[in-house]
Order: sequence, then structure tokens, then C-alpha cells
Amino acid sequence: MMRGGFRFLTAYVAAYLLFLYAPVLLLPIFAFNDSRVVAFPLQGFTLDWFRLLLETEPLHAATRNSLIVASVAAFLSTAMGLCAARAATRHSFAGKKGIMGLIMVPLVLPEIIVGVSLLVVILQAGFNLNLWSIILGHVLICTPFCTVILSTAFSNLDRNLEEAAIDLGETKLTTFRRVILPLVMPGIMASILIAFTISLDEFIIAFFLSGTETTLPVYIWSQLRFPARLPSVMALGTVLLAISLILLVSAEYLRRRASDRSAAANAGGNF
Amino acid sequence: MSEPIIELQEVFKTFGRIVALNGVSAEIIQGEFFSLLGPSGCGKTTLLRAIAGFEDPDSGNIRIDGRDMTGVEANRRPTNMVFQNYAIFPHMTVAGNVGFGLTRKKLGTTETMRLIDEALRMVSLEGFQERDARTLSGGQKQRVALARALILRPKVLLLDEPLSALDRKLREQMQSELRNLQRAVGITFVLVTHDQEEALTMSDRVAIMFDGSIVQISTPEELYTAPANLQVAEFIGSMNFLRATVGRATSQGTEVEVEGLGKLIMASESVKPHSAGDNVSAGIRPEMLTVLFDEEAGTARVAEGQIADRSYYGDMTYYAVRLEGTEQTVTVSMRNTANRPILPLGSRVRINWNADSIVLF
Ligand SMILES: Nc1ncnc2c1ncn2[C@@H]1O[C@H](COP(=O)(O)OP(=O)(O)OP(=O)(O)O)[C@@H](O)[C@H]1O
Ligand SMILES: [Mg+2]
Repeated sequence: MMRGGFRFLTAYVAAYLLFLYAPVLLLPIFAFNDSRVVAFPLQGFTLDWFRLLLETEPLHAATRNSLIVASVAAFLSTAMGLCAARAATRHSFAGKKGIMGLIMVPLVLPEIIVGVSLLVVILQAGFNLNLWSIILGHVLICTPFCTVILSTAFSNLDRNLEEAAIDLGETKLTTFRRVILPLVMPGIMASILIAFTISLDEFIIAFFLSGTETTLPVYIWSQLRFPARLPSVMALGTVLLAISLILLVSAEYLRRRASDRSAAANAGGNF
Repeated sequence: MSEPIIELQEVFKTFGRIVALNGVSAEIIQGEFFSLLGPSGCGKTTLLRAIAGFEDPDSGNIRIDGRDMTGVEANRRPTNMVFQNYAIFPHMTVAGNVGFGLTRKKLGTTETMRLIDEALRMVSLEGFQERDARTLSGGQKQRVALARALILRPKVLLLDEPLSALDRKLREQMQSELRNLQRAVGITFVLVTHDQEEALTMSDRVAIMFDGSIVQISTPEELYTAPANLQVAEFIGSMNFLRATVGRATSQGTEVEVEGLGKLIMASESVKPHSAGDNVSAGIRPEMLTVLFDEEAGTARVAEGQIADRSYYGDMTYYAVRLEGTEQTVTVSMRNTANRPILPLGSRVRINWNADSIVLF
């Protein structure tokens, strides 16, 4: 009885992991496969699809757009998250819970709703769709993530450190620069990286809000209509996968370092 | 008496419905080691933070070095603080921490380095300049916090339970170091503590706080021998309380009838403000009572009793003695010396006391 249940669970976990990761693993396999048809059996090793990427001009434009959008969105949402996190951890004000809740809402709001409603607002207001409209949408969905990451960084910060700096003659502003900022810096970097990653592969909002210029995911989607381009899309996917992995690992590393730091700071009294 | 460096006048502070400071008035004298002693939650930290400028009093007045501090921000006050958890900046070296407050003085590198070296020498941390602050032990962090505050030569150094996080041995060592440091630099220290032993051994004067008010300010000796009221007497050390009645005044002093000890004559001065017929409480410390051993000569003032309980502390033995003819038990502490046996429970003993050490409440 026990044994049967155990075997079933093992099989379940194996199936689950296979389902989760097999498609992702197929990406690099077919990216190096020397065939226009994405199917087994494999036909041999090639770098042609990566070479093709280098030669596709619109792809470069889309990549550049994506990098611009992701960088600006990451910076803006981190700046906004910084303010929200600081307010949430240091000050108490009327309606704080409600306001913090509202900031978090985009986390659970379907992106299609965000995309459509922003599209309506932007068009009604008479603005053009361009990279800025995509940035706007991305800031909206990234800010909750940044706020959460930065709130953790701030709440790990010992309040006495700020008071100690002020006691030693610093102003609120110089205290922020000399004490708070260096201590939450790993959190800030983690926030920027996460926001960057989210923005980089976001599709729905970018799809709704892009004008003539599109981002990489939207470009990839447009290429899927041409089966012949599929292998090069796989190659592109492989590159993106590698970049995302690197970014996420760095973000996690920085986040852990941030909490190590504040833990060390808090350990002052109880060594 | 020299000049007051801090003058507190009727300082009130409330947090919502909690009254943290209930009209605190006090003067702290230039160059003294002053302690704020009181039970948890009595408002010690709040008072210290009000002096430092981290809490605005609701009303009342704080003057430091003759200047009214109302509206003066913490970073402009001539005070520095040692925080309970030391608040060492974890992203800096020891030198970075100690020199933190010098940065805005723009002294130049050589002068800054010299001052840092000097401050570290003062707290016996020579050679620690480049150590990562995170790698320091609790005692070392404490010293860095001291050096960081003292390097700015404040008029007053404020310390909030600076020793409470240290283990017993290190705490005792730091107590005497802190005391010596204070004498050496001549800066006024205001120390918050809930440890009476710490307050008594280190301070020139101690203020006792209860429920947001200072009830007594005096030297440690006075505090111990002449507590202002029953509450202070109970808080500081231990004390026996016996029911007593004030009798008539005679030429030698005032008669007081103490339950279990009988009639004794006290200096009229120490009976004040009580008058004949008042029912009072007579307080006497355990070490002011003596168990008489057979070979020791008895005096006129003895009471008979029986040992009801006993606690042995190595150097001392505490006896609970039930006084003859009463339900009253008093604690007597005896130093254990070579020729004194530890008395067994149930022994009949005679105890002796000194009327001068009795305090009436
Ligand atoms: N920021 C605050 N908000 C609300 N109440 C506070 C605040 N600071 C202090 N109090 C309250 O004021 C009272 C005095 O607090 P305070 O910290 O001064 O006590 P304390 O004597 O330092 O106690 P302890 O020995 O435990 O440190 C307490 O009842 C405390 O709960
Ligand atoms: Mg306190």
C-alpha cells in the first residue's frame, strides 16, 4: 500500500518536471539542429540559425527596443518601488494598508485587462502609441514586484542606524546617501534585475501598446507565422533563456546578500 | 555645586493614551556620571531620546548647556548617543564608523586619521582601523560605538542600556572601563539602566524613575540608606518592612514601637514627617541585622527568633528569622567567616540591629 503510493508520487513528480522543463530543453536542442523542420529525428549540428539572427535587421531593432523599454521600465519601477517601500516601512499614515494594497493589485490583474484599458486611455487622451506607452504598461506591472523586494530590504534595515547617523550630525538626506542607500543597494539591484527580466519577456501589454516599433516578444510572435523561421526563433529563444537565467540568478544572489547584510547589522546586540 | 549641563523642566510626553513622561524635572551637572534607573517601561528611554532630540516633548522644557533645545534637531544638539544595540554601520570598517561624524567637519585626512587613532586608543582598540565592522564581537562593537560618539567631543554622552547585551563578566569589566573613561574625558555621561547594581556602582548620582516620573535623585549611598519612599526602598536592594507606631518625643529622640523588635529610640530628625500616634512602616536592610553567635557579647537591643529558612550564597548566608511572639519574619544576611557556623533550620537565635539604620515610611 505504502510502496504503491510512493511509486505513484515518484512517477507524478517525474511527469511534472518533464512537462515543466521538456519544452524549455527542446529550445536549445532545435536551435542547434540542422533542419528547417522542427521535428525529431535530429539532423546534425549547426550554428546557422544563430548566424541568421545576426543578419536579421528587424530583429536587431526589436532587440534594441526591448532593451530600451526594459531598462527604462526597470529604472522607473525601482524608483517608484523605493518610495513606496520606504513609506510603507517607516511611516504610518491614514489609509496606508489600502494604498499599499492598490499598489499590489497589478500583480493579480490579468495583463490583458491592463493592456486593453491602457490602450483605450492612451488613445482617448490623444497620445501616439510608441515605446513610451509600452514602458508605461511595464512600469505598472513591475512596480509591485519592486515594492515587495525593496520593502524586504528596508524592513531588514535597523532603524537605529538611521538615528545613529543623524545623532552623529548627518541630515536626513545625507543619512540616506551614506547609510540607507549602501545598505539597501543589493535590494535595489535585485529589484532592477527582476523588473528588467519581467519587462524583457512581457508580451500581452507590449502587443497592445506597441505602435510601429515593437519589442522582441512581439517580433517573435510575428515570426511564428512563417514556419521556415521557426528554427531561428528557437535560437533566439535560447539566447533569451540564457540571458534570463543569468539575470535571475544574479538577482537572487544580490537579494540574499542584502538580507545577509541587514542580518549582520541587526546582530549588533545579541552576538 | 557646579553648573547644570542639562535642565529638564516639567517634561511631558505621551504616546496616544500612554503617558511616557509625566512632568520630569531634573538638573544634570556638568561632568558627572548620571544614571536613570527604573523598571521596564517607566520612560527611561523616552527621556533619553527627548534629550537627544529624537522625541519632541508635548510640553515642558529641555535646556542643554544653557540653550533651550525646543525645535533643535538631533543632529544639531551637543549630545551623542550610544544605542542599546550599538547601531554600528555594517557596511563600513571600524575607522569608517569611528570617523563617521568627522566627515562633515572636513578636517583633512591626516587630522581625521589622528583623531580616529586617538579615539580607538581611548577604548583600547588600537590597530582595529581596517577591520570590517560586521566581524566585531559584542564588546568590541560597544567600544566602537563609544569611540564614534566620543570623537565628536559632545557636551553630554547618552547611553541607553549599553551593557545589557553583554555577558556578566564582560559587563563588569565594561562597567569599570566606562567609569574610568568618563573620568578621563570629563564629559557628562547620562546612562539608562534597569540594573540597580550597575547604577549604584558607576554613578555619581542616580535618578529613580517610576511611571514617567522621577521620584528621587541622589548619590548611590543616599539612595540605598535613605530611600525617599517605600517604592524606592523596595526597588533598590532588599529591605525588611515591619509594622511600627511612633511614640512620644524625648530628649534623646523619638520613641518608636516596632513589631518584633520592641521599643527603640530614633533620632527625631529621621522620624519626620511622622508624628506621635502614626502607624508607619519601619524598613531595615538584611545586612543591618546581625545574628549573634554565642561567643559574641549581646547588647541591649536584641530580639529572639527562630530560623525558618536559609539561603546559602557562598560568601553570604541569608536567614529568614521568625521573630518571637509575632508572625513577622525578617531576612538577615551574614557574611560567612571562618569562625561562624552555618546555622541549621529551627535554631533559636538572637538578632541585633542598629537603630540608625531603620528608615520609617
Ligand atoms: N514610539 C512609541 N509609541 C508608543 N508607545 C511608546 C513609544 N515609545 C515608548 N512607548 C511607551 O512609553 C512607555 C515608556 O517607554 P520607554 O521605552 O521609555 O521605557 P523604558 O523605561 O526605556 O523601558 P525599558 O527598560 O523596557 O527599555 C512604555 O509604556 C512604552 O510602551
Ligand atoms: Mg528602554
